[in-house]
Amino acid sequence: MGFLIKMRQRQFIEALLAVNQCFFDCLLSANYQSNQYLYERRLHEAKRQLMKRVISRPSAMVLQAAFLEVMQVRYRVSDFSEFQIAALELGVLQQALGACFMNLFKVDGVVGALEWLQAAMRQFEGINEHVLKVSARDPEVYTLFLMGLTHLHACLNRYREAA
Amino acid sequence: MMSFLMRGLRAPWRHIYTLCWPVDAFKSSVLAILKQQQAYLSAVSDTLHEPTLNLSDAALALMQASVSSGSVYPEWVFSRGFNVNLRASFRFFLLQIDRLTDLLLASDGMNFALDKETRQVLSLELKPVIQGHLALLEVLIYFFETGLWSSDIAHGDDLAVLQNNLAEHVMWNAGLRLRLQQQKDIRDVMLRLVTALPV
Repeated sequence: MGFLIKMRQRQFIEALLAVNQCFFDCLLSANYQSNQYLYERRLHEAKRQLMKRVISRPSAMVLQAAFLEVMQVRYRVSDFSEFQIAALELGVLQQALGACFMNLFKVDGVVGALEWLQAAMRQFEGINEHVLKVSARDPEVYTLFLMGLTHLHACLNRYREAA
Repeated sequence: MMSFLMRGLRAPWRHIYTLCWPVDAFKSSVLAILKQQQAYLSAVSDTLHEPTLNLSDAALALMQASVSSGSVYPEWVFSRGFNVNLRASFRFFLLQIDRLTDLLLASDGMNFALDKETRQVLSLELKPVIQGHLALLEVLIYFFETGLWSSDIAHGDDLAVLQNNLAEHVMWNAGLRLRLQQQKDIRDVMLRLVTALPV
């Protein structure tokens, strides 16, 4: 029984990590716009696997919804080259989110990962305040992205406490 | 007729069907997803005044429609070698429908980020906007069912009214701001889909 629970947890984490990877690939790949359907298909496949896991784990629905909201940034932004300005910060965010998902069911690990995510969000906020708000076509998009991340952080925290 | 046939077909025959009648196969698949989205939005509209929102069943049904490749979601549109004349338009539709599903699921999740008072304010203001979404979805469904345009395509300034009415609350509430943006995005995707329908 314990083995089955562990296996399901691992599958859920793997699905989250795959979505995380595909999403940040969309943001950080220079050729996303010219090969949009290819990237979106990959992301769709990863989301499909995640939804399969969430269907058997309805408590994760809010977490999935928060992640889906964060992922909307790729549609809201009008100039994809702006992501290259914040490539370093986005890379750190990807790693921090990955660490949160990886340690989602580990009591000790997830606290550190959530702190890392908070730090990564602060780092992104820094570049948003100093660079993106000045140079981006629509700076509102990044403010919304940060709001989404804050919501995701809260959902991860709540999910950890419930689990 | 064809869509009824398709539901009963097993894998190899379904593949042949999609190869021979891709437009019919695509229509029936998209229609199934649009109807799930309509059911979900109706559930949202019905539960707006409820303080304890329970949309899990409708959300699960919507996810099921996206997950079940082969039976509903037309994955084959992305297959290598698919009809080049249809490919671009089919992929465009699928991408937008996928985004719509994401937005609907995401907006449900945002409710938990709002406090009771904000949710009450929002529930009053959101009703006409959701009715507007449903009207546009109805146009899409009618087109995919009959191949005809619905005569009553009317969407007013419901989103502008919502934005004005919530202006003072939005300033201080990040959750509400995101929720408002999601409604704008949902409308934007629906209008894109409606305007992309062939005349």
